[in-house]
Amino acid sequence: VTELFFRAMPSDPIVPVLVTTSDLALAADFRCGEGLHQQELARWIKEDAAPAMKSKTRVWFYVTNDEQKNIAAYSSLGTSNWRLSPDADKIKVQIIPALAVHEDHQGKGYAQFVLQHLIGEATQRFEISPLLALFVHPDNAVAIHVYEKVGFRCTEHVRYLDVDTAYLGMIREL
Amino acid sequence: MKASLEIDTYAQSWKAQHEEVGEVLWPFEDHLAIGVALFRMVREQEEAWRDRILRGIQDFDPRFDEGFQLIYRCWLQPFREITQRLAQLEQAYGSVKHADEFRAACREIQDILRSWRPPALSTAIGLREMALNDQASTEVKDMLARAKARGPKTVETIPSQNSSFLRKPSN
Repeated sequence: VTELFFRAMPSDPIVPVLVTTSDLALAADFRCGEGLHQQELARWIKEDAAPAMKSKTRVWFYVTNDEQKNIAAYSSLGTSNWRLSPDADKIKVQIIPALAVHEDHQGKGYAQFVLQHLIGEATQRFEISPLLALFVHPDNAVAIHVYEKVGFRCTEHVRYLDVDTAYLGMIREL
Repeated sequence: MKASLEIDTYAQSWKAQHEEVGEVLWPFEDHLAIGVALFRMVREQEEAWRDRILRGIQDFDPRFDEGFQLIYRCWLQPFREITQRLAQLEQAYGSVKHADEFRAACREIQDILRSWRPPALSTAIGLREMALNDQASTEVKDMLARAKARGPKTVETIPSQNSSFLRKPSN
């Protein structure tokens, strides 16, 4: 089965770079907006990406293909276990824990490029799980629109005791 | 007769050396191997504990946090004595098995303790383990069955660079 994407190659190309924990310091100034969920995403790459990487989550920076090599976006890909019913075994799902586009580079089509890159990476690991999922803040309408554009669809709202927000779960087959 | 005496002397000296190696060097090498294996085992346990907390499978308990740090400190306690003895044996016998692994483990434990941060629940919701409600479960089961029956779709892959591509600060 061949899936053809409308590949929205950004006008200013960016390059995915698989990073190590020692590279994360380069994102110390990363900003993606003033909204609460945007601040959470900026904090994730600075503080929470390192422990996630120790739990086998991979992280990419997308850098501008010029001398500056500015970080225009970041993304991540890991796995999680979902229990489908109380007595059923857990299933493994590939997960995008966090992704964000730097505020200076929003509106250039980078988010779709980043997602297409991640879908390619996840498809190469089809044997781990044929499903790719993510959770998005319900106020992040722009992101939800882009996720739908590349084939994700909503599953359910998940509410956690330690967070006030019901995040929207989205999933797609690989 | 003379040759026989020389061979005998050589054999005696080799025997003495061999006995010394057997009594001193080999047990020391065994201790190094055990020390490194113990460290790997504790490290594996610590990483699994961190993973369980990150994914919300286990609550954070400060007793474990202190416990792991204490084990690492105990491991490092005889470090100075052992490295001194190691240097003496390397001088006497040329090389000591497991010496490099032992030194690497020492450096790694020092780094672990220096950069120690208690584990925390992932702020990225997706990394937490979760149970789905009935409706979502049915939907996911169907998707899973369909995807497995079909096999992976062919998608365009975008190659990644490694981190040497990144500009490092103040370079």
